[in-house]
Amino acid sequence: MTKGRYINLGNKKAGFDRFFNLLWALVIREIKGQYRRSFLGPAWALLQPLFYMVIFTFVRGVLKISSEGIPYVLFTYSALVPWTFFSNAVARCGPSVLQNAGVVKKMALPRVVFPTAAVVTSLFDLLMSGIILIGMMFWFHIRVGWSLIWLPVLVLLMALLALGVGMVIAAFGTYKRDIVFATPFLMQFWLLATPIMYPLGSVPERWQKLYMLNPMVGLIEGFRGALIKGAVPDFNLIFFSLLGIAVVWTIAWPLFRIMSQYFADVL
Amino acid sequence: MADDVVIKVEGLWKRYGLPLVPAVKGFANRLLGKPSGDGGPWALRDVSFEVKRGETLGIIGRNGAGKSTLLKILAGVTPPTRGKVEVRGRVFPMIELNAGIHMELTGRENVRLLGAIMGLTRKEIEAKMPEIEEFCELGEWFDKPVRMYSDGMLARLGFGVAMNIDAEILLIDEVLAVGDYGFRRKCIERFRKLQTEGITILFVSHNLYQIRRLCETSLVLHQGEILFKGSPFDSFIFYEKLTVLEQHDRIIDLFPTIRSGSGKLRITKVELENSSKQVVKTVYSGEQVTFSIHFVTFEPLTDPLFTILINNLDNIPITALISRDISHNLTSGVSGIIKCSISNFDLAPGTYTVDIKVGEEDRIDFIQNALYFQVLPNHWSTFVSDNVGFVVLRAKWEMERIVPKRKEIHEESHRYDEKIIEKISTFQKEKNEPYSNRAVPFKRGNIKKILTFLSNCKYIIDIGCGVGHTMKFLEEKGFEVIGITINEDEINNKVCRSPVYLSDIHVFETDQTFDAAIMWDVIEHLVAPIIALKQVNKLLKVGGKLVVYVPSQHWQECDYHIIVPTESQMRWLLNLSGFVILETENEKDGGKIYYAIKAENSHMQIKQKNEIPEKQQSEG
Repeated sequence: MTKGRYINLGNKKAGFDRFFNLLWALVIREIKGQYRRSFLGPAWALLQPLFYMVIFTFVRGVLKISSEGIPYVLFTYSALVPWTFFSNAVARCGPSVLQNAGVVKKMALPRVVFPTAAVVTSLFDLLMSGIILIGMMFWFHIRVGWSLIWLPVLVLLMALLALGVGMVIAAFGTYKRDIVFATPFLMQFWLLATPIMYPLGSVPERWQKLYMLNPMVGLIEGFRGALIKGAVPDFNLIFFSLLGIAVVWTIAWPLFRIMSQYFADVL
Repeated sequence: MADDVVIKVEGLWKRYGLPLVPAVKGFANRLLGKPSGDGGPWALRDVSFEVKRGETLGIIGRNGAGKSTLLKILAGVTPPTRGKVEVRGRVFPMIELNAGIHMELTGRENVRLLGAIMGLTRKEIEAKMPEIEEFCELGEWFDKPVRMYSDGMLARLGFGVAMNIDAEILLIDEVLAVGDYGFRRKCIERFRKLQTEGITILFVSHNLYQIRRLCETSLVLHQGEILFKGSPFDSFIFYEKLTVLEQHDRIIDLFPTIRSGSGKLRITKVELENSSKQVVKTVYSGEQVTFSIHFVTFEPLTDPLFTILINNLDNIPITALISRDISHNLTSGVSGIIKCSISNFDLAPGTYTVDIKVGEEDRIDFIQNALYFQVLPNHWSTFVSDNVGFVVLRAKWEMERIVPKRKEIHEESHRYDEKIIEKISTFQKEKNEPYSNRAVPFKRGNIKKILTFLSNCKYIIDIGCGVGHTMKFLEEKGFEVIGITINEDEINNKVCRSPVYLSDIHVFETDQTFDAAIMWDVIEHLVAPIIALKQVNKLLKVGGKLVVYVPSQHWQECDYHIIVPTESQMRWLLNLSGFVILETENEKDGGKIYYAIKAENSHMQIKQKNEIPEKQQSEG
């Protein structure tokens, strides 16, 4: 039995150009559509990390967590902002193909555009919640330096990681919804396994090795360090993050590519 | 792949879902010792065909026949399981037009989105935006959120974008059912334009009329296989026959044969024969058919009445055929066949059941659903009406004269002569002229002579009737009169009972024909007397009479358009417009009355053409 072949001899225009056009249109649709009929509008993007920050501040009052001499509110918020971006991006990826079922069934598109659009849309939320972060830094008179140039790099790595994880979820989630439903729980667990409400230093020595396998550790720690302490990220940690991203992508990319061919069959 | 072939499908098989799943299942089954089976249903089986550039191919098939699957594979949305599909050109599938529309965005924003989905760059979309906006006909709604749209408006939006994409291959799936009639027609026009531009179109529809209108060839897909390829009409017939076979069992279930009656006579068999004397279950509309009823008698019968009752599938009786013309006394124990032929079996295409009844009050034998049969269209025109109704009447259509509505005439006349009317009104107001003084022609004319001329006329039209003094006079004499004028003021002040219409003789048309027409003091006011007279000619029956009064010069000086024709000009005008002048009469005031009749031969004027008029001399 030979596998079926589909050859289109005319689609020379397809490629990056088309991909970015489509990506842009989808992102615009999401952002405009999301807030157009809400009362608070883009402010919703700020509320989620603020909400966590308030909870963590209460919890800290009970557990006496160290914050390495930084005001705890800022300590936790500066990590919550990138985390919220990451977790929203992953959560959005899962149902992204499902939500665009009509388009998927209709046009021959590079399907990866849907999870990508989900990640890029979350980037917009990140910018919004960044505003409060800047406000806080002024309030606490935090000095910033050249280390800030690391922030975009770290955000990009987080986006790559989110897309990788998101592709896996979307690939399976399009066939069976279970993994999409499970995503919020997984993200909660991941949140606790990342130095956000506590510093990296408070993790017991014997767990450190295992802990490092979480690629978000290096990224979040690096983000907070570059922003507040003016420190260059720990390359040791970043190496683990890169390794993690590489592993995720070697699984996610071929998996998504193969499974996405048949999306139209099951939607 | 030959140069002009744009779609080539070879041995295409398609099964939905991940190919891994059936493989795993098959393997598991084999391990468990169960037959591995086919591994799931095939949506398409061994489909092969080619489409040439510029061709329009229709695809007919029932739900689940694999039509949409085929289009999806051609669009590259889903991969073929086996076989080879080659497509050359930019494919645009119009499968679900509104896929991707976001309800909170405006029409314009959604157009941008749809455009990007359909593969246009932002520049291209912006360049096409005015065209799309115009095509959608949404007006100000174009910039309102889509959630406020009606279904029809939404469909327009999707269609507007789709129709303005420069695709080389269009795949269309049942989308023409959207929008109102006007919009649909617009879309069909657009399709036609695309066809002439050499766009290749694949068209899937249940609406066979649309298939017929748009396609040159079509194929019938049935349970994933191509069973037929040919002209749309042949495909349709094939498809209908196919459905009959499929429906066979269902119809028998739904319409079981029920029998009752005294049993003095029993029907043994009922058959339907077509024009070539074959026993069939399908006939063509308008064909000659024969019903044969085979029977056996058990008791002697005097003149048993046979009735064939034809019902449609909604159990509505369509017609009853009763054997009143023949009388036969039947002895006991004979068998026979009674035949009923219909030369033009003009039933509408569809499926019918037949009840057979023998006897009247004394029900001898009665079989419900003794037979069912299918009527196929014999020609496209037979199902143009989308299978509405029960019979196909042999109608012949012709377009007769189109008569504008009175409102249209009104508008038309204003368009025509608005300025002149205004001038006349102001002039008359300035002169402070009373209505009673105006248009009182018969004061001046030789009344007796006119009445003699009009003696055997009944219906008269007064052109430029003014307030209707002439009409009043004529209606008192027992004529049926109508008048037309271009001055609304005059209608409001009319003095006669008869109707007066606001219209201009240049454009006036009506269904009625008149015996006579009167144009008193009118011809000199007309913009184009020759057109007006030709129009008058049309209003009259052959031999109809025309009385025209032309003054020697106009009795009032005013600046609006007046040209008093000379006698030779009048002769020329009348002849050229198909009248024969019987007599002229000089009036005391120097004017002239022309008595003319409509020539039998409207080409009369040709004979007179060497009579060249004098050069026009009196200009106002």
